[in-house]
Amino acid sequence: MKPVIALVYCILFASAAAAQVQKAPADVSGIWVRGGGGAGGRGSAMSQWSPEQLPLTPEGLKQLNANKPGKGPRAVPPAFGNDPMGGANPPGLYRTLIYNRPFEIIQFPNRVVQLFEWAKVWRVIWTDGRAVPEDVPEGPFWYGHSVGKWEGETLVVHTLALDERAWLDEWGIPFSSEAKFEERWRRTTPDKLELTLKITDPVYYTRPWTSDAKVYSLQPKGELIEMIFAPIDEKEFNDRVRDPAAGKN
Amino acid sequence: MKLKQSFLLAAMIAAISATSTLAHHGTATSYDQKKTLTVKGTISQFLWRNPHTALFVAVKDEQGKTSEYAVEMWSPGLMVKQGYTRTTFKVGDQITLEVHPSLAGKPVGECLGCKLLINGKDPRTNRTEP
Repeated sequence: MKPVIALVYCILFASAAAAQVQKAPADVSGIWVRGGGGAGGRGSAMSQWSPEQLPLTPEGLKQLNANKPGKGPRAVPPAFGNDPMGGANPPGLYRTLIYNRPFEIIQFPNRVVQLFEWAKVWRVIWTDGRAVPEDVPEGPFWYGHSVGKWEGETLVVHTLALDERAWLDEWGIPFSSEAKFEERWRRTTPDKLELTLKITDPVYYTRPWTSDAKVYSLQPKGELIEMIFAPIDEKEFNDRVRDPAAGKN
Repeated sequence: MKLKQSFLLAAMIAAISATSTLAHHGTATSYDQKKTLTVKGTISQFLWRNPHTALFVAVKDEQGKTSEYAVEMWSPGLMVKQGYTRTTFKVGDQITLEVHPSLAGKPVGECLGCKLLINGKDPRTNRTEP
């Protein structure tokens, strides 16, 4: 390809790409950690995400009762629970977002990236104008597939293809493989970032439900560290500490 | 592992504040948050690993029999914030710490911010009181 033709091609390609990328009207970058805003729920079907009783279907209630967490109102000693993290499996997307560990947001023209300290993983929110897919053939994923769009200064993110073996929170709240999620991220003040999460899951919930606002505080001097749960370490800890503590062996 | 010295395990049950610090995925539910147990012995091993550090203490009972007491501690990140390092807990050092004991009565306890002395001193301040 001649240089001039290549230059024209690059300009045209770049222009076409730029036309699809929505300019971000707000800056949500920085290191954030959840520091309050929104308490755990009440009633028998409670989540850290919502103050309301969850509208579980019979199938959802069955799965809730099958999940035996080590935290929250239904907590059992971890040695007798079935928390997937007890075997050092990934926490998954929403359990990570509800947990009090920091994450960093980096904004690019075509995507927003969240770097999570917990499990040292990242998540991409595509903001390049693509449509939200009906399905993601390669899924499910522990951290899902996310497409975002700015509505004013609110970043609205649609997430699907989440692995249903993950839990929504530390309390063992379930979601099915049919679940779809809408996140609304908004920087309410220079040092506060707010998230509300809407869950639509007709298998486990009779109607969509929305979390209360979860608030994350900016950490101007924060730095992410490595927080990996290695199975080789978790097994030794289980064998020598956690299981004996509960009288399991 | 050869022990330099062993000490008596003294059990001291006392009511404490109801405040508890939950470890990740709720390990604290395995321990009695309303009781403390004073463990005295010799450090036999210390694991500096995420997401938990773990301490193993050789203790000797009244009959002179030595056994291992396991102690769950914070993650390395939280330990550093509290002033401990990966070299704070040395094999062979004498340690006294007040743990929340296993609800199942096993020789395992939880020390998430508990009081501890190594060779008679708080390793963070070098003072004789925590």
